[in-house]
Order: sequence, then structure tokens, then C-alpha cells
Amino acid sequence: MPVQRWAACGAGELIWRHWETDEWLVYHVPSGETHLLNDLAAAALQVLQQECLTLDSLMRHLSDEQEVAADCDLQLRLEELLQHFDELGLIESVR
Amino acid sequence: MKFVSDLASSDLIKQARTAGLCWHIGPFVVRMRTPLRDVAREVAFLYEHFPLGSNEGFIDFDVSVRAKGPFGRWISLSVNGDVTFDWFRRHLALPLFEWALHGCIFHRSHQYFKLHSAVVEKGGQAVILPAPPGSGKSTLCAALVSRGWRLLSDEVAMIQPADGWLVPVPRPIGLKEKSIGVIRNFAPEAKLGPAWPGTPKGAVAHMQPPLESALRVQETVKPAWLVFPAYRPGASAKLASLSKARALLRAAENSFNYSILGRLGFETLARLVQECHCYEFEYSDLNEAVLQLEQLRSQPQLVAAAV
Amino acid sequence: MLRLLKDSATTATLELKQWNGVLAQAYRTGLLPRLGWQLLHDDPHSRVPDAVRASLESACTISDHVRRGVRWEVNRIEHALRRTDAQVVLLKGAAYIMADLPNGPGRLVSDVDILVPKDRLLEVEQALLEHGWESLKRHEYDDHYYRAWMHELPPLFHPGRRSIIDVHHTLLPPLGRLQLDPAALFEAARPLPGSRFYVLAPEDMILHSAAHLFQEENLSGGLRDLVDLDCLLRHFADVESDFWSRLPSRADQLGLNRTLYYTVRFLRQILHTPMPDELIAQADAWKPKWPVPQIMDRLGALAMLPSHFERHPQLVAGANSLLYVRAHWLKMPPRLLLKHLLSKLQRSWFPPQAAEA
Repeated sequence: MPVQRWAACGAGELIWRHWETDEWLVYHVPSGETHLLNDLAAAALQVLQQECLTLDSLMRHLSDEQEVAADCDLQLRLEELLQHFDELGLIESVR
Repeated sequence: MKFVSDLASSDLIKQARTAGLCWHIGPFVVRMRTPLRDVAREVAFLYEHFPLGSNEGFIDFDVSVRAKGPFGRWISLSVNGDVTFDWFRRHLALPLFEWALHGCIFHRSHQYFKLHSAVVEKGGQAVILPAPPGSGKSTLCAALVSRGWRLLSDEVAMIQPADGWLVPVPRPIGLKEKSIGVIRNFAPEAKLGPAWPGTPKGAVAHMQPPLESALRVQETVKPAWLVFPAYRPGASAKLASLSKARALLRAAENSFNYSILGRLGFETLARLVQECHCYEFEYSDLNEAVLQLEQLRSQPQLVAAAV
Repeated sequence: MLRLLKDSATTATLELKQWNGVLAQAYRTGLLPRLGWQLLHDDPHSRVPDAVRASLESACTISDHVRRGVRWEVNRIEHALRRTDAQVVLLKGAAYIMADLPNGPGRLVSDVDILVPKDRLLEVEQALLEHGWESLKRHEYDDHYYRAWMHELPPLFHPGRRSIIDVHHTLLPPLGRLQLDPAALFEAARPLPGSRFYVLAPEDMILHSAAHLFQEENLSGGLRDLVDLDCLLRHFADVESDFWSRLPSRADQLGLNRTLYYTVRFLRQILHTPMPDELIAQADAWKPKWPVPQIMDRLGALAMLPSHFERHPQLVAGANSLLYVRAHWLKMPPRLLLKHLLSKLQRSWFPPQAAEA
């Protein structure tokens, strides 16, 4: 069974602002919605803007970058995050 | 330049009854047409310091107030030909006129980014005070204006998207119920119109924009502080620092056209929070509140250290 | 205002104070953004004074916002329907915008209308309900009325985006006096490049818009619909081969001859849309017996034209309710109509206790 891969919107469609720790604002141009993300969520979305990844690859990538353990807890958080992003239209499943 | 106050009462009434009385409010041209003398006089009092406009030019908001029914006990008000208020009691004419103008300025004119907030300025720096209706911002605004702050508006911050500067649109400050007495006490020299009972928001009175605020209407200014006020009975005046990201989201919730402007709305608001110091502000006593904001302006480093 | 819509060069002849009346009328008829778009972005011959420019640009800002909203809504509908292969045709405003038709910019749209084959209706509704839409149930009677007699489901509302979708299975009510076979519409529908959606064939788009205008309950939005028709006709006449002969033969095929007659008549009278003589003659052959055309003219013009409203507000209210009864008459057999109207009247006096969100 093919594993699901995810990609985020192109560069022009997400506008970022960041001032304080753990608070990232992203404006999604097509939907007109503004989201407040924490460090992990922002990092995930930014990584997916660069590359199309599976959940596992994303987890490994973020674990290195954010210096967090690549454990069940992280996997669960990322699964939820990806589902949430998908519902919001920020990312898309790619074949 | 001629002002509304330059017109003799009889000319004023005749003008309002025939071609209409035109005047400028900041960037907008307003015209009022009404055969009702008392309404004409009340409106002219509140706007007496504003420059007269021309009936030959383009009018942004054309307001017509007519009496209806037997003995003319009711009125109907229309803006640019569209009936906005119909079959309201006659004594509500003035509050309705003001509310109609609110509607025009808030929901049209999207060449500006607009926040539902009071805006005042002193020493070349402006404070924006966004808050939902009923939060006491008009009362706080009236208090500040009575203590030397220039009024840009008590209801709407109009920001030019190109450079982020604030455009003044000073208008009579609407005071409700208890606030009327509070401001009469706080600033006995302030010029207030009559209190109109029985509006959907209770009794309403209007404070005339001071002469200086009206005269300096062309002076745009850069915003320096974004302060979210909250009246809490018994609270001492306290500023609390707010993160820029959260300040942006709260301001967006208090905006008239954040969504309508799309990307430009986000970028304008992002620039605003970037360039301003952002605070939440709790208060109950007006004197304390005014003092605290005065300190913010004159000794910002002390305030920053304290929060 | 009509002169300006027809010819932007007329802007040069307007005095500043005349613009007040023009903008007020445009606002009232929902045409201010369209006028703004035409004068500011479309036509190099237009001359707009600076004082007026801000108002027109502000109106364009609103329609740009609407356009982005419609595109996103269509995106979300596509997302919700990705597991079904039902043929979905976009209608009206959403179609004009997604197909990049010339009446898209400046168009105000209040909801998204889609057309779906009747046998796929429940499947589509289910998919939408699973992705966050809710059914707008105001009153059980209305729900029953919609499902049994109308050509659409009760509207679906998305609480997060506060948007509405109308899901149709045919374009005219199935029990009305005029019958329309949707199979022909689906067959002729054209796919949108890069999308799972379709739009109606050009002749069908025209006829649908016209049927909506002349049979719906309230003609006061009519001037805007006429402007749509004028714009689409000019465009299709330009880019489609044989369009002027395809249009009347399709009208005949679908049983919408009378509708085409009214379309031609009103467009010529009010907007002076250029049309070949053959079309005019053909449409004329379908006119109803006297005095109906004259009455429809007066009623229609009264409801549609803003300047009439300014002078005789009473008359327009009367004209609109006459049309309301007429529109219902076309939708339902008379015995059912009476029952429905009585029920609507009762509910407006005694609203239901629990209002649903």
C-alpha cells in the first residue's frame, strides 16, 4: 500500500511573521485565514513547503531540527497536526 | 475657509432644508438634508468646528432625515437614497444620524485598513485603543481628550496601507447611560449635546470634538502604542505586555475589514504590531487610567521595565 | 449609470455631482463593484475624477474579496468530494468566476450553486456533511417542501466559513409548469481545465441565467442579472461559432422559448445589447398573447430599474409582490401553492420556538 506523502502550499501562498518564541503567525492567502502556530507546528509546515514527505520522514527531520525525541509522543502530535493542516487546506496528500 | 459655525442659524436651517448642508469630516464629505430645524441645529452644534463643503462636488455620504406619520412624530433616515432607519421616534433623530455615519465609515471606504478602536495622540505619537462595543473605550477616549490628547476618532482607527499612518476622522464622541454623568463630572468644561433617552443602547449623549482636534484634522500621525483597554470595576490601572502575535490576532478580531483586505490586511496589521508596543490595559478609575497612559507616553522605559 | 455601463467613454461627460447619483444607484442594484471594475481596470477610455476613484476602488476591494472566497469555497468542495466521481456542474456566480468569464470580476456572489445528477444527490450531500457542512433546517415544512417539490436540497451551511452551498439536481422545480430535462444539460456541460468541475455549455448558461431572472420570486436583483446576460452574450457571440443560431434552437429544445423571448426583449430595451435580426425575429415568434408582454414590461422595468424606485417606492413594492405570486405560480401547481403560501404566512406570525443556528 503506498504510503501517504504530504506537501504544503507553495511559497507565495503562506506569509510568515515571527517575533516571540514559540509564536508563529502564518497567513494562508487562498483561504484568507490566519493561524497562530507553536515552534513544532511552524517547523513542520515550513519543512513541508520545501519537500514532499511521509509522516516518518517528517518526524525524523523535525526530531533533528527541533532536538526532540523521535518517539510515540512526537508521532502522535504530528499525526494530529497533519490531519488538522489537511482540514484547513494548508497541506495536501500527494501520490 | 468657512466653517459650520460661520453660518447664521436661519441660513443653516434653510440650507439643510433645500440643497443640503455639506461639511468635511477628515477625508469624507458629508451632506445632511432635513426639513427638521431642531435636527439641523443639533447636528450643526456637534460639527460646528468643521469646514463647510460644496454641493457641487462629490458627496461621500448623503444623509436625509424626514418626518413621517401624523403630526410628524416619527422619522425615516436614508443614506445615498437607501432607507437605513424607518419609523423611529422623532427624538432619536440625532443618535440615528450618528449611527448612520458610523455605518458608512465602518462598512465602506476600504481604501483604509480599519480597527474598531479609539485613537488619540499627544506629542506626535498616537495610541490605538481597540475594543468591542460596550467596553468603555468611548468614555476613556473622552477622558483622554479632556486632558489634552488630540482626538483622531472614538470609534475607528483608519490606517493607510501604503505607509501605516493614521488618518484622523474626528466625530462627536458617543457616551451612553452612566458615562454621560461620569464625563460631565470628569470634564465639566467639555461641550456635550443633550442626552437622548430610549435608544436601543439606553440614553445617549455626544461630546463635541474639541476645536484643536477639528482644526488639525489633516495631520496624519504614526501609531506608537496598541493598547487593548478593559474596564473592570474596582481594578487599579495596570498595563500588561502583550506578544505581537497575540496582539495581531486580537486586533484582527476588532477589525472592520481585516478579511476584506486579504493579504494587504495581514501585512498592514503585521506592520502595525511590529512598530508599536502592545499592551493589555485594565482600569476602573478614569483619573488613574489617564495618568497611566500619560506615563506610558512620557516615560515608556519605566513602563516597559514594570511590565 | 446604464449609459456608463454601456460605454465607459461617457465618464468624460459627467459633472462631479452627477457621480453621486450614479454611485448611489450602482450600490443599490449591486452593480457598484462591476462599474468600478469596468471603469478602473477594464477600459482605457474611462475618465474617473480622483474624488470618485476611492469609492470605486473600495467597491472593487469587496468584489476581490468575494472572488477569493468563491475560489476557496470551490477548493473546499473539491476536497470534500474527492472520493466521489459524480459529475458536478458549477452554476451562476461561481461558474463565471471559476471559468474566468468577463462578468466574473466585480461580481457579488452570496452562495455557491452546484448541479449534480439526481441519483448522486444523497452521495454528494453525505460527503459535504462529513466535511463540516450542515443542513439549514428552519422548519420541517420547508425541508419537506424543498426535497419534495424544489429542484435543490435545503441549503447547506458551513459554520466555520459561514458559507452556503445550494445543491441542485435540475434547474427548474420538477412540479412547475415548465419542465426541464437535466440530462441534456449534463451532456453538454464543459469541463473546467485542471479541475473535476464542469460549467454549463454557453447557451445553457444564458438560458439558465434568464430562467432564474424571469421566473424567480424577486426581480429587484434583476438589473444585475441583465448585465450578466448582456456581458455573457457579447462574449459568447465573440468566441463561439454559430452562437446566435445555437441559442434559439437550444431554447426550443429545452422548452424555454418564452424565456428567450423575454431575454431578448428586456436586453434590447434596457441595455441595447447588439443582436442579429434573425434572433430577434425568432424570439418574437414566441411571445405570449397581448396584453402579457406589456404588463411584464411595466412590472419588470419597475422592479429592475433603480430610478423608478426612487420616484415611486410604493409602486415597486407592489410590483415585486405581484412577481412573487407569479414566480410561485410557475413553480408549483396552484392547489399546492395555496397550501404553501398559507403555511408561510402562518409561520411569519407565529415563528417556531426553537430557532436552529
